[in-house]
Amino acid sequence: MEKETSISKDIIIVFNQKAQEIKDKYSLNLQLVEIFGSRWSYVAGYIDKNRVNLPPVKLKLTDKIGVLIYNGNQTSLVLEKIQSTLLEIVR
Amino acid sequence: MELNNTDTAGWIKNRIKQDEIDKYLKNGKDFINDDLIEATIKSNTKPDKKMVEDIISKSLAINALSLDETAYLLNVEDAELLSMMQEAALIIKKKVYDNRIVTFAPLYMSNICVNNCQYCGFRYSNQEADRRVLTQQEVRMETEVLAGEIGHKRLIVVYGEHPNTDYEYIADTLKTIYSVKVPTKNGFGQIRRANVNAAPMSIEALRYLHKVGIGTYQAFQETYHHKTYEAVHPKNTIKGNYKWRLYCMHRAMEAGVDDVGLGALFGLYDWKFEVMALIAHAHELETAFGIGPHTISFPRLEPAENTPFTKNSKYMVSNNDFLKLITVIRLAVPYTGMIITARESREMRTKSLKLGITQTDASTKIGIGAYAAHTDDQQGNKQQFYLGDTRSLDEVIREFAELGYITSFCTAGYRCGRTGKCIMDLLRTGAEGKYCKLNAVLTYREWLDDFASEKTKEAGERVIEKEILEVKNTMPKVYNQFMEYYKRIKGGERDIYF
Repeated sequence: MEKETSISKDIIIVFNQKAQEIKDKYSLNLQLVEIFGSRWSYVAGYIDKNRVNLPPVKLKLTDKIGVLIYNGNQTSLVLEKIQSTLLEIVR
Repeated sequence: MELNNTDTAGWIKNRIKQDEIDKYLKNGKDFINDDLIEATIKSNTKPDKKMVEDIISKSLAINALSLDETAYLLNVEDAELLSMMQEAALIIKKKVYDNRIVTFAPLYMSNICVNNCQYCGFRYSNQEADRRVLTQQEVRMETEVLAGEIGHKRLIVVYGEHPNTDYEYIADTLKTIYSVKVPTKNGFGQIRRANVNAAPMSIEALRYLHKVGIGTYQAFQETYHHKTYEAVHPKNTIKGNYKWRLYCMHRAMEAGVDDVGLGALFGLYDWKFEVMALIAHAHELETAFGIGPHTISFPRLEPAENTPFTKNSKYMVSNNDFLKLITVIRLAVPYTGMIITARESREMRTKSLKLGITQTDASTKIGIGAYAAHTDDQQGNKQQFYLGDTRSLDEVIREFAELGYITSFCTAGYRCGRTGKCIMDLLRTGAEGKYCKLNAVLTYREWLDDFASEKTKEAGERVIEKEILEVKNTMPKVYNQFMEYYKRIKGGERDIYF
Protein backbone atom coordinates (compact mmCIF):
# COMPACT_ATOMS: atom_id res chain seq x y z
CA MET A 1 0.00 0.00 0.00
CA GLU A 2 1.20 3.48 -0.70
CA LYS A 3 0.47 6.89 0.60
CA GLU A 4 -1.47 8.80 -1.99
CA THR A 5 0.12 11.87 -3.49
CA SER A 6 -0.88 13.99 -6.44
CA ILE A 7 2.78 14.09 -7.45
CA SER A 8 3.32 11.33 -9.98
CA LYS A 9 6.06 8.72 -9.77
CA ASP A 10 7.52 10.11 -13.00
CA ILE A 11 7.91 13.53 -11.42
CA ILE A 12 9.60 11.97 -8.40
CA ILE A 13 12.05 10.04 -10.59
CA VAL A 14 12.99 13.14 -12.59
CA PHE A 15 13.17 15.20 -9.41
CA ASN A 16 15.65 12.77 -7.89
CA GLN A 17 17.82 13.00 -11.00
CA LYS A 18 17.73 16.80 -11.06
CA ALA A 19 18.30 16.98 -7.30
CA GLN A 20 21.47 14.95 -7.72
CA GLU A 21 22.68 17.24 -10.52
CA ILE A 22 22.01 20.30 -8.38
CA LYS A 23 23.79 18.73 -5.44
CA ASP A 24 26.83 17.97 -7.60
CA LYS A 25 26.89 21.46 -9.05
CA TYR A 26 25.94 23.69 -6.10
CA SER A 27 26.34 21.43 -3.02
CA LEU A 28 22.70 21.98 -2.14
CA ASN A 29 20.30 19.35 -0.87
CA LEU A 30 16.73 19.30 -2.13
CA GLN A 31 13.54 17.88 -0.74
CA LEU A 32 10.31 17.54 -2.71
CA VAL A 33 7.11 18.37 -0.84
CA GLU A 34 3.40 18.49 -1.51
CA ILE A 35 1.64 21.62 -0.29
CA PHE A 36 -1.63 21.56 1.63
CA GLY A 37 -2.35 25.01 3.01
CA SER A 38 0.41 25.68 5.51
CA ARG A 39 1.41 22.02 5.57
CA TRP A 40 4.45 21.09 3.46
CA SER A 41 4.38 17.31 3.35
CA TYR A 42 7.49 15.30 2.63
CA VAL A 43 7.39 13.34 -0.65
CA ALA A 44 10.97 12.58 -1.68
CA GLY A 45 14.58 13.66 -1.52
CA TYR A 46 17.02 14.76 1.12
CA ILE A 47 16.73 13.72 4.75
CA ASP A 48 19.73 14.32 6.98
CA LYS A 49 19.16 11.97 9.86
CA ASN A 50 22.22 12.91 11.81
CA ARG A 51 22.35 16.64 12.22
CA VAL A 52 20.35 19.81 12.43
CA ASN A 53 20.22 21.98 9.35
CA LEU A 54 19.79 25.67 9.07
CA PRO A 55 16.24 26.47 8.00
CA PRO A 56 15.65 25.58 4.34
CA VAL A 57 14.71 27.99 1.60
CA LYS A 58 11.12 27.29 0.57
CA LEU A 59 10.48 27.34 -3.15
CA LYS A 60 6.93 27.03 -4.40
CA LEU A 61 6.86 25.50 -7.88
CA THR A 62 3.08 25.27 -8.22
CA ASP A 63 0.15 25.66 -5.83
CA LYS A 64 0.62 22.02 -4.89
CA ILE A 65 4.31 21.27 -5.28
CA GLY A 66 7.23 22.81 -3.44
CA VAL A 67 10.91 22.27 -2.88
CA LEU A 68 12.94 22.83 0.26
CA ILE A 69 16.57 23.74 -0.33
CA TYR A 70 19.06 22.95 2.39
CA ASN A 71 22.62 24.04 3.06
CA GLY A 72 22.18 27.76 2.52
CA ASN A 73 24.56 30.25 0.91
CA GLN A 74 22.83 30.09 -2.42
CA THR A 75 22.61 33.36 -4.31
CA SER A 76 19.37 34.53 -5.82
CA LEU A 77 20.84 33.75 -9.23
CA VAL A 78 21.43 30.13 -8.23
CA LEU A 79 17.92 29.94 -6.83
CA GLU A 80 16.48 31.24 -10.08
CA LYS A 81 18.41 28.60 -12.01
CA ILE A 82 17.22 25.86 -9.69
CA GLN A 83 13.67 27.08 -9.93
CA SER A 84 13.68 27.12 -13.72
CA THR A 85 15.25 23.64 -13.80
CA LEU A 86 12.62 22.25 -11.46
CA LEU A 87 9.74 24.03 -13.11
CA GLU A 88 10.49 22.01 -16.23
CA ILE A 89 9.67 18.88 -14.26
CA VAL A 90 6.22 19.96 -13.18
CA ARG A 91 5.13 21.50 -16.46
CA MET B 1 -31.85 13.19 20.10
CA GLU B 2 -33.87 12.45 16.94
CA LEU B 3 -32.21 10.22 14.35
CA ASN B 4 -35.24 9.20 12.35
CA ASN B 5 -35.48 12.00 9.81
CA THR B 6 -34.84 10.85 6.25
CA ASP B 7 -31.69 12.90 5.67
CA THR B 8 -29.92 11.66 8.78
CA ALA B 9 -30.97 8.06 8.25
CA GLY B 10 -29.75 8.19 4.63
CA TRP B 11 -26.44 9.72 5.69
CA ILE B 12 -25.91 6.98 8.27
CA LYS B 13 -26.74 4.29 5.72
CA ASN B 14 -24.18 5.57 3.23
CA ARG B 15 -21.44 6.40 5.68
CA ILE B 16 -19.50 3.14 5.61
CA LYS B 17 -17.76 2.23 2.36
CA GLN B 18 -17.39 -1.53 2.58
CA ASP B 19 -14.80 -1.63 -0.20
CA GLU B 20 -12.61 0.69 1.92
CA ILE B 21 -12.55 -2.01 4.58
CA ASP B 22 -12.35 -5.14 2.44
CA LYS B 23 -9.29 -3.99 0.51
CA TYR B 24 -7.16 -4.09 3.66
CA LEU B 25 -8.31 -7.43 5.08
CA LYS B 26 -6.15 -10.52 4.84
CA ASN B 27 -8.23 -13.62 4.16
CA GLY B 28 -11.23 -11.66 5.34
CA LYS B 29 -9.67 -10.97 8.74
CA ASP B 30 -8.39 -7.80 10.35
CA PHE B 31 -4.95 -7.51 11.95
CA ILE B 32 -6.06 -7.69 15.59
CA ASN B 33 -6.00 -11.33 16.59
CA ASP B 34 -7.54 -11.39 20.07
CA ASP B 35 -6.55 -14.98 20.80
CA LEU B 36 -2.96 -14.42 19.73
CA ILE B 37 -2.66 -11.28 21.87
CA GLU B 38 -4.10 -13.03 24.92
CA ALA B 39 -1.78 -16.00 24.35
CA THR B 40 1.25 -13.74 23.92
CA ILE B 41 0.51 -12.01 27.22
CA LYS B 42 0.14 -15.36 28.96
CA SER B 43 3.24 -16.94 27.45
CA ASN B 44 5.65 -14.14 28.36
CA THR B 45 5.36 -14.20 32.11
CA LYS B 46 8.06 -14.55 34.78
CA PRO B 47 10.44 -12.01 33.32
CA ASP B 48 14.06 -12.29 34.44
CA LYS B 49 16.51 -9.43 34.85
CA LYS B 50 18.77 -10.28 31.91
CA MET B 51 15.87 -10.51 29.51
CA VAL B 52 14.41 -7.20 30.68
CA GLU B 53 17.83 -5.56 30.33
CA ASP B 54 18.16 -6.86 26.77
CA ILE B 55 14.73 -5.53 25.83
CA ILE B 56 15.51 -2.16 27.38
CA SER B 57 18.76 -1.99 25.39
CA LYS B 58 16.78 -2.46 22.23
CA SER B 59 14.47 0.41 23.21
CA LEU B 60 17.41 2.63 24.11
CA ALA B 61 18.74 2.09 20.61
CA ILE B 62 15.38 3.55 19.46
CA ASN B 63 14.04 0.33 18.01
CA ALA B 64 10.42 -0.71 18.26
CA LEU B 65 9.72 -3.78 20.38
CA SER B 66 8.00 -6.92 19.18
CA LEU B 67 4.71 -8.02 20.70
CA ASP B 68 6.49 -10.75 22.67
CA GLU B 69 8.91 -8.21 24.13
CA THR B 70 6.08 -5.82 24.92
CA ALA B 71 4.17 -8.59 26.71
CA TYR B 72 7.27 -9.46 28.66
CA LEU B 73 7.55 -5.89 29.98
CA LEU B 74 3.84 -5.71 30.73
CA ASN B 75 4.27 -8.70 33.03
CA VAL B 76 7.14 -7.21 35.04
CA GLU B 77 6.15 -6.89 38.71
CA ASP B 78 9.55 -6.66 40.36
CA ALA B 79 10.11 -3.15 41.78
CA GLU B 80 13.76 -3.04 40.77
CA LEU B 81 13.01 -4.02 37.17
CA LEU B 82 10.12 -1.57 36.99
CA SER B 83 12.37 1.20 38.19
CA MET B 84 14.93 0.24 35.52
CA MET B 85 12.20 0.44 32.87
CA GLN B 86 11.08 3.85 34.12
CA GLU B 87 14.60 5.24 34.01
CA ALA B 88 15.03 3.97 30.46
CA ALA B 89 11.71 5.52 29.42
CA LEU B 90 12.90 8.96 30.48
CA ILE B 91 16.27 8.52 28.76
CA ILE B 92 14.50 7.59 25.53
CA LYS B 93 12.19 10.55 25.78
CA LYS B 94 15.13 12.92 26.21
CA LYS B 95 17.04 11.27 23.38
CA VAL B 96 14.18 11.52 20.92
CA TYR B 97 12.37 14.67 22.03
CA ASP B 98 14.74 16.37 24.44
CA ASN B 99 13.32 17.83 27.66
CA ARG B 100 10.45 19.64 25.99
CA ILE B 101 6.74 19.18 26.49
CA VAL B 102 4.42 20.28 23.72
CA THR B 103 1.16 21.85 24.86
CA PHE B 104 -2.15 22.13 23.10
CA ALA B 105 -5.80 22.70 23.88
CA PRO B 106 -8.83 20.68 22.88
CA LEU B 107 -11.57 22.60 21.08
CA TYR B 108 -14.92 20.82 20.99
CA MET B 109 -17.03 21.86 18.02
CA SER B 110 -20.20 19.93 18.68
CA ASN B 111 -21.82 17.33 20.85
CA ILE B 112 -24.37 15.97 18.42
CA CYS B 113 -23.67 12.38 17.52
CA VAL B 114 -25.45 9.55 15.75
CA ASN B 115 -23.68 6.92 17.83
CA ASN B 116 -24.77 5.44 21.11
CA CYS B 117 -21.59 4.34 22.88
CA GLN B 118 -22.35 3.22 26.41
CA TYR B 119 -19.49 5.14 27.99
CA CYS B 120 -19.98 8.49 26.25
CA GLY B 121 -21.90 11.54 27.46
CA PHE B 122 -22.50 12.56 23.83
CA ARG B 123 -24.37 9.32 22.92
CA TYR B 124 -27.63 10.07 21.17
CA SER B 125 -29.79 8.40 23.80
CA ASN B 126 -28.49 10.70 26.55
CA GLN B 127 -31.46 12.98 27.10
CA GLU B 128 -29.59 15.10 29.64
CA ALA B 129 -27.10 16.45 27.11
CA ASP B 130 -27.54 20.05 25.99
CA ARG B 131 -26.81 19.69 22.23
CA ARG B 132 -25.00 22.29 20.23
CA VAL B 133 -22.88 22.86 17.09
CA LEU B 134 -20.64 25.90 16.94
CA THR B 135 -21.25 28.36 14.10
CA GLN B 136 -18.24 29.70 12.21
CA GLN B 137 -18.56 32.94 14.17
CA GLU B 138 -18.47 30.98 17.42
CA VAL B 139 -15.46 29.01 16.18
CA ARG B 140 -13.74 32.33 15.57
CA MET B 141 -14.61 33.55 19.08
CA GLU B 142 -13.28 30.35 20.67
CA THR B 143 -10.07 30.60 18.66
CA GLU B 144 -9.58 34.25 19.61
CA VAL B 145 -9.59 33.29 23.27
CA LEU B 146 -7.29 30.30 22.76
CA ALA B 147 -4.76 32.09 20.57
CA GLY B 148 -5.15 35.65 21.82
CA GLU B 149 -5.78 35.33 25.56
CA ILE B 150 -4.26 32.00 26.58
CA GLY B 151 -1.56 31.78 23.95
CA HIS B 152 -2.08 28.34 22.48
CA LYS B 153 -0.59 27.63 19.06
CA ARG B 154 -1.81 24.07 18.63
CA LEU B 155 -5.29 22.59 18.95
CA ILE B 156 -6.96 19.24 18.83
CA VAL B 157 -10.35 20.01 17.33
CA VAL B 158 -13.03 17.51 18.29
CA TYR B 159 -16.23 16.64 16.43
CA GLY B 160 -19.14 14.30 17.07
CA GLU B 161 -20.24 12.07 14.20
CA HIS B 162 -23.25 13.63 12.57
CA PRO B 163 -24.26 14.88 9.09
CA ASN B 164 -24.24 18.46 10.40
CA THR B 165 -20.58 18.11 11.33
CA ASP B 166 -19.41 16.11 8.34
CA TYR B 167 -16.09 16.69 6.58
CA GLU B 168 -17.21 19.88 4.85
CA TYR B 169 -18.09 21.43 8.21
CA ILE B 170 -14.76 20.22 9.59
CA ALA B 171 -12.89 21.81 6.68
CA ASP B 172 -14.75 25.11 7.15
CA THR B 173 -13.95 25.21 10.86
CA LEU B 174 -10.27 24.54 10.15
CA LYS B 175 -10.18 27.39 7.64
CA THR B 176 -11.79 29.66 10.23
CA ILE B 177 -9.31 28.62 12.92
CA TYR B 178 -6.31 29.21 10.67
CA SER B 179 -7.65 32.63 9.63
CA VAL B 180 -7.69 34.05 13.17
CA LYS B 181 -4.80 36.36 14.05
CA VAL B 182 -5.04 38.26 17.33
CA PRO B 183 -2.80 41.14 18.46
CA THR B 184 -1.00 40.38 21.74
CA LYS B 185 1.20 42.30 24.16
CA ASN B 186 4.29 42.13 21.97
CA GLY B 187 3.28 40.39 18.76
CA PHE B 188 0.31 38.37 17.61
CA GLY B 189 -1.31 35.07 18.46
CA GLN B 190 -2.57 32.46 16.06
CA ILE B 191 -3.22 28.75 15.83
CA ARG B 192 -0.48 27.21 13.72
CA ARG B 193 -1.42 23.57 13.85
CA ALA B 194 -4.97 22.25 14.09
CA ASN B 195 -5.11 18.52 14.70
CA VAL B 196 -8.43 16.80 14.22
CA ASN B 197 -10.20 14.19 16.33
CA ALA B 198 -13.13 12.99 14.28
CA ALA B 199 -14.95 9.80 13.43
CA PRO B 200 -13.58 7.52 10.71
CA MET B 201 -14.17 8.80 7.20
CA SER B 202 -13.83 7.68 3.62
CA ILE B 203 -10.61 8.21 1.71
CA GLU B 204 -12.33 10.92 -0.32
CA ALA B 205 -13.38 12.84 2.81
CA LEU B 206 -9.91 12.53 4.32
CA ARG B 207 -8.35 13.77 1.11
CA TYR B 208 -10.66 16.80 1.28
CA LEU B 209 -9.51 17.52 4.83
CA HIS B 210 -5.88 17.02 3.93
CA LYS B 211 -6.18 19.80 1.37
CA VAL B 212 -7.07 22.37 4.03
CA GLY B 213 -3.92 21.48 5.97
CA ILE B 214 -4.88 19.41 8.97
CA GLY B 215 -2.13 18.49 11.40
CA THR B 216 -2.54 15.04 12.91
CA TYR B 217 -5.67 13.01 12.28
CA GLN B 218 -6.73 11.28 15.46
CA ALA B 219 -9.39 8.59 15.90
CA PHE B 220 -9.23 6.14 18.78
CA GLN B 221 -10.32 2.54 18.50
CA GLU B 222 -11.59 2.86 22.11
CA THR B 223 -11.20 -0.89 22.66
CA TYR B 224 -9.41 -3.28 20.33
CA HIS B 225 -11.08 -6.31 21.91
CA HIS B 226 -13.70 -7.44 19.41
CA LYS B 227 -16.31 -8.74 21.84
CA THR B 228 -16.03 -5.78 24.17
CA TYR B 229 -16.19 -3.43 21.20
CA GLU B 230 -19.39 -5.08 20.10
CA ALA B 231 -20.85 -4.87 23.61
CA VAL B 232 -20.27 -1.14 24.12
CA HIS B 233 -20.99 0.06 20.57
CA PRO B 234 -24.51 -0.94 19.47
CA LYS B 235 -24.54 -2.85 16.22
CA ASN B 236 -27.08 -0.62 14.46
CA THR B 237 -24.78 2.42 14.72
CA ILE B 238 -21.88 3.48 12.51
CA LYS B 239 -19.48 3.07 15.38
CA GLY B 240 -20.75 -0.48 15.80
CA ASN B 241 -18.61 -1.42 12.80
CA TYR B 242 -15.24 -2.42 14.32
CA LYS B 243 -13.40 -2.77 11.05
CA TRP B 244 -14.54 0.58 9.63
CA ARG B 245 -12.96 2.20 12.65
CA LEU B 246 -9.88 -0.02 12.75
CA TYR B 247 -8.89 0.81 9.18
CA CYS B 248 -9.52 4.56 9.34
CA MET B 249 -5.77 5.19 9.67
CA HIS B 250 -5.09 3.08 6.60
CA ARG B 251 -7.53 5.26 4.71
CA ALA B 252 -5.93 8.40 6.16
CA MET B 253 -2.50 7.26 5.00
CA GLU B 254 -3.86 6.49 1.57
CA ALA B 255 -5.43 9.94 1.44
CA GLY B 256 -2.00 11.43 2.11
CA VAL B 257 -2.56 12.26 5.80
CA ASP B 258 0.68 10.83 7.10
CA ASP B 259 0.52 12.06 10.70
CA VAL B 260 -2.00 9.90 12.48
CA GLY B 261 -2.82 9.49 16.17
CA LEU B 262 -3.84 6.18 17.70
CA GLY B 263 -5.51 5.65 21.05
CA ALA B 264 -7.54 3.38 23.27
CA LEU B 265 -9.94 4.25 26.03
CA PHE B 266 -8.51 2.42 29.01
CA GLY B 267 -11.16 0.98 31.28
CA LEU B 268 -13.29 -0.76 28.68
CA TYR B 269 -11.24 -3.97 28.64
CA ASP B 270 -8.02 -5.42 30.11
CA TRP B 271 -5.31 -2.77 29.93
CA LYS B 272 -2.54 -5.19 28.94
CA PHE B 273 -4.57 -6.33 25.96
CA GLU B 274 -5.16 -2.73 24.85
CA VAL B 275 -1.43 -1.89 25.07
CA MET B 276 -0.58 -4.95 22.98
CA ALA B 277 -3.20 -4.04 20.40
CA LEU B 278 -1.99 -0.44 20.18
CA ILE B 279 1.51 -1.71 19.49
CA ALA B 280 0.13 -4.18 16.94
CA HIS B 281 -1.66 -1.27 15.24
CA ALA B 282 1.60 0.71 15.14
CA HIS B 283 3.40 -2.30 13.62
CA GLU B 284 0.64 -2.73 11.04
CA LEU B 285 0.96 0.89 9.86
CA GLU B 286 4.73 0.59 9.65
CA THR B 287 4.44 -2.58 7.61
CA ALA B 288 1.76 -1.26 5.30
CA PHE B 289 3.00 2.29 4.79
CA GLY B 290 6.48 2.53 6.29
CA ILE B 291 5.20 5.17 8.72
CA GLY B 292 4.23 4.56 12.33
CA PRO B 293 1.73 6.61 14.33
CA HIS B 294 2.68 10.20 15.07
CA THR B 295 1.14 9.96 18.53
CA ILE B 296 -0.47 7.47 20.88
CA SER B 297 -3.06 8.48 23.48
CA PHE B 298 -4.27 6.45 26.44
CA PRO B 299 -7.22 8.20 28.06
CA ARG B 300 -8.74 6.46 31.06
CA LEU B 301 -12.47 6.17 31.37
CA GLU B 302 -13.78 9.15 33.35
CA PRO B 303 -17.21 9.85 34.84
CA ALA B 304 -19.68 11.43 32.42
CA GLU B 305 -23.08 13.00 33.08
CA ASN B 306 -25.95 10.50 33.11
CA THR B 307 -23.58 7.72 31.99
CA PRO B 308 -23.53 5.00 34.67
CA PHE B 309 -21.22 2.76 32.62
CA THR B 310 -18.34 5.13 33.37
CA LYS B 311 -18.57 4.31 37.06
CA ASN B 312 -19.22 0.58 36.86
CA SER B 313 -16.66 -0.90 34.49
CA LYS B 314 -14.72 -3.81 35.96
CA TYR B 315 -11.67 -2.91 33.88
CA MET B 316 -10.88 0.45 35.48
CA VAL B 317 -7.10 0.98 35.43
CA SER B 318 -5.37 1.70 38.75
CA ASN B 319 -2.84 4.52 39.02
CA ASN B 320 0.05 2.09 39.29
CA ASP B 321 -1.01 0.13 36.25
CA PHE B 322 -1.57 3.38 34.37
CA LEU B 323 2.00 4.52 35.03
CA LYS B 324 3.25 1.10 34.01
CA LEU B 325 1.37 1.13 30.72
CA ILE B 326 2.83 4.55 29.90
CA THR B 327 6.31 3.20 30.61
CA VAL B 328 5.80 0.14 28.43
CA ILE B 329 4.38 2.14 25.51
CA ARG B 330 7.36 4.52 25.72
CA LEU B 331 9.73 1.56 25.51
CA ALA B 332 7.78 -0.29 22.82
CA VAL B 333 7.54 2.62 20.35
CA PRO B 334 10.41 4.91 21.34
CA TYR B 335 9.92 7.41 18.50
CA THR B 336 6.19 7.98 18.87
CA GLY B 337 4.72 11.03 20.58
CA MET B 338 2.73 10.26 23.73
CA ILE B 339 -0.17 12.35 24.93
CA ILE B 340 -1.62 12.67 28.41
CA THR B 341 -4.59 14.97 28.86
CA ALA B 342 -6.33 16.94 31.56
CA ARG B 343 -8.62 13.99 32.14
CA GLU B 344 -5.90 12.98 34.57
CA SER B 345 -5.17 14.65 37.89
CA ARG B 346 -2.27 17.03 38.36
CA GLU B 347 -0.42 14.38 40.34
CA MET B 348 -0.73 11.73 37.65
CA ARG B 349 0.24 14.16 34.91
CA THR B 350 3.34 15.23 36.77
CA LYS B 351 4.36 11.64 37.46
CA SER B 352 3.79 10.60 33.85
CA LEU B 353 6.11 13.33 32.54
CA LYS B 354 9.01 11.35 33.95
CA LEU B 355 7.96 8.30 31.97
CA GLY B 356 8.21 9.76 28.53
CA ILE B 357 5.13 11.87 27.87
CA THR B 358 5.69 14.36 25.05
CA GLN B 359 2.43 16.32 24.85
CA THR B 360 -0.25 17.56 27.18
CA ASP B 361 -3.06 20.09 27.31
CA ALA B 362 -3.70 23.00 29.68
CA SER B 363 -6.34 25.69 30.29
CA THR B 364 -8.57 22.92 29.10
CA LYS B 365 -12.30 23.36 28.60
CA ILE B 366 -14.34 20.71 26.87
CA GLY B 367 -17.78 22.27 27.02
CA ILE B 368 -19.10 23.42 23.66
CA GLY B 369 -18.40 27.15 23.44
CA ALA B 370 -16.80 27.16 26.89
CA TYR B 371 -13.68 29.20 26.08
CA ALA B 372 -15.51 32.28 24.82
CA ALA B 373 -18.06 31.95 27.64
CA HIS B 374 -15.16 32.11 30.11
CA THR B 375 -16.89 29.56 32.32
CA ASP B 376 -14.74 28.03 35.01
CA ASP B 377 -17.22 25.45 36.22
CA GLN B 378 -17.43 22.11 34.46
CA GLN B 379 -20.85 21.71 32.85
CA GLY B 380 -21.70 18.03 32.80
CA ASN B 381 -24.53 18.35 30.29
CA LYS B 382 -22.28 20.11 27.76
CA GLN B 383 -19.14 18.03 28.00
CA GLN B 384 -18.19 14.46 27.16
CA PHE B 385 -16.71 13.68 30.60
CA TYR B 386 -15.35 15.45 33.69
CA LEU B 387 -11.77 16.76 33.76
CA GLY B 388 -9.22 15.90 36.44
CA ASP B 389 -6.98 18.96 36.05
CA THR B 390 -8.34 22.38 35.15
CA ARG B 391 -5.21 24.43 35.80
CA SER B 392 -4.40 27.33 33.51
CA LEU B 393 -1.66 27.14 30.90
CA ASP B 394 0.28 29.70 32.92
CA GLU B 395 0.19 27.50 36.02
CA VAL B 396 1.13 24.36 34.09
CA ILE B 397 4.03 26.06 32.33
CA ARG B 398 5.31 27.40 35.63
CA GLU B 399 5.24 23.95 37.14
CA PHE B 400 7.05 22.48 34.13
CA ALA B 401 9.69 25.21 34.39
CA GLU B 402 10.22 24.46 38.06
CA LEU B 403 10.69 20.79 37.15
CA GLY B 404 13.24 21.72 34.47
CA TYR B 405 11.05 21.14 31.40
CA ILE B 406 10.67 23.62 28.61
CA THR B 407 7.19 24.04 27.20
CA SER B 408 7.16 24.02 23.44
CA PHE B 409 4.66 25.66 21.12
CA CYS B 410 6.56 24.44 18.13
CA THR B 411 4.52 23.68 15.03
CA ALA B 412 7.40 23.94 12.60
CA GLY B 413 7.88 20.37 11.43
CA TYR B 414 4.76 19.97 9.35
CA ARG B 415 5.32 23.29 7.65
CA CYS B 416 8.77 22.43 6.36
CA GLY B 417 8.61 18.86 5.18
CA ARG B 418 9.23 17.10 8.50
CA THR B 419 6.19 14.86 8.15
CA GLY B 420 5.50 11.17 7.59
CA LYS B 421 8.59 9.14 6.72
CA CYS B 422 10.88 12.14 7.06
CA ILE B 423 9.94 12.90 10.65
CA MET B 424 9.97 9.21 11.57
CA ASP B 425 13.59 8.95 10.36
CA LEU B 426 14.57 12.10 12.23
CA LEU B 427 12.92 10.89 15.42
CA ARG B 428 14.68 7.54 15.26
CA THR B 429 18.11 9.15 15.04
CA GLY B 430 17.45 11.87 17.60
CA ALA B 431 17.88 14.70 15.05
CA GLU B 432 14.28 15.81 15.54
CA GLY B 433 14.98 16.30 19.25
CA LYS B 434 17.51 18.96 18.31
CA TYR B 435 14.99 20.80 16.11
CA CYS B 436 12.58 20.44 19.02
CA LYS B 437 14.96 22.19 21.35
CA LEU B 438 15.62 25.11 19.00
CA ASN B 439 11.98 25.65 18.22
CA ALA B 440 10.93 25.11 21.81
CA VAL B 441 13.17 27.97 22.93
CA LEU B 442 11.94 30.28 20.18
CA THR B 443 8.26 29.61 20.80
CA TYR B 444 8.73 29.70 24.59
CA ARG B 445 10.23 33.17 24.20
CA GLU B 446 7.15 34.25 22.24
CA TRP B 447 4.79 32.90 24.89
CA LEU B 448 6.69 34.35 27.84
CA ASP B 449 6.70 37.79 26.23
CA ASP B 450 3.07 37.70 25.18
CA PHE B 451 1.18 35.79 27.86
CA ALA B 452 3.15 34.84 30.97
CA SER B 453 2.41 36.14 34.46
CA GLU B 454 5.39 37.72 36.22
CA LYS B 455 5.89 34.64 38.38
CA THR B 456 5.88 32.27 35.41
CA LYS B 457 8.11 34.56 33.40
CA GLU B 458 10.65 34.49 36.18
CA ALA B 459 10.71 30.67 36.22
CA GLY B 460 10.73 30.58 32.42
CA GLU B 461 13.73 32.90 32.10
CA ARG B 462 15.82 30.46 34.13
CA VAL B 463 14.85 27.63 31.78
CA ILE B 464 15.60 29.68 28.67
CA GLU B 465 19.01 30.71 29.93
CA LYS B 466 19.95 27.08 30.50
CA GLU B 467 18.58 25.98 27.12
CA ILE B 468 20.43 28.68 25.19
CA LEU B 469 23.67 27.61 26.80
CA GLU B 470 22.96 24.03 25.80
CA VAL B 471 22.29 25.06 22.19
CA LYS B 472 25.59 26.95 22.17
CA ASN B 473 27.48 23.93 23.45
CA THR B 474 25.77 21.18 21.49
CA MET B 475 24.83 22.86 18.20
CA PRO B 476 27.57 25.39 17.45
CA LYS B 477 26.90 25.34 13.69
CA VAL B 478 23.38 26.69 14.03
CA TYR B 479 23.92 28.78 17.15
CA ASN B 480 24.44 32.12 15.40
CA GLN B 481 21.39 31.70 13.22
CA PHE B 482 19.42 30.58 16.26
CA MET B 483 20.42 33.66 18.26
CA GLU B 484 19.54 35.92 15.37
CA TYR B 485 16.04 34.41 15.36
CA TYR B 486 15.84 34.67 19.13
CA LYS B 487 16.64 38.38 19.07
CA ARG B 488 14.14 39.01 16.31
CA ILE B 489 11.45 37.32 18.39
CA LYS B 490 12.39 39.41 21.40
CA GLY B 491 11.93 42.41 19.12
CA GLY B 492 8.33 41.40 18.36
CA GLU B 493 8.64 39.21 15.26
CA ARG B 494 6.68 35.99 15.46
CA ASP B 495 6.63 32.51 13.97
CA ILE B 496 10.28 32.14 12.98
CA TYR B 497 11.47 28.57 13.12
CA PHE B 498 13.99 25.86 12.19
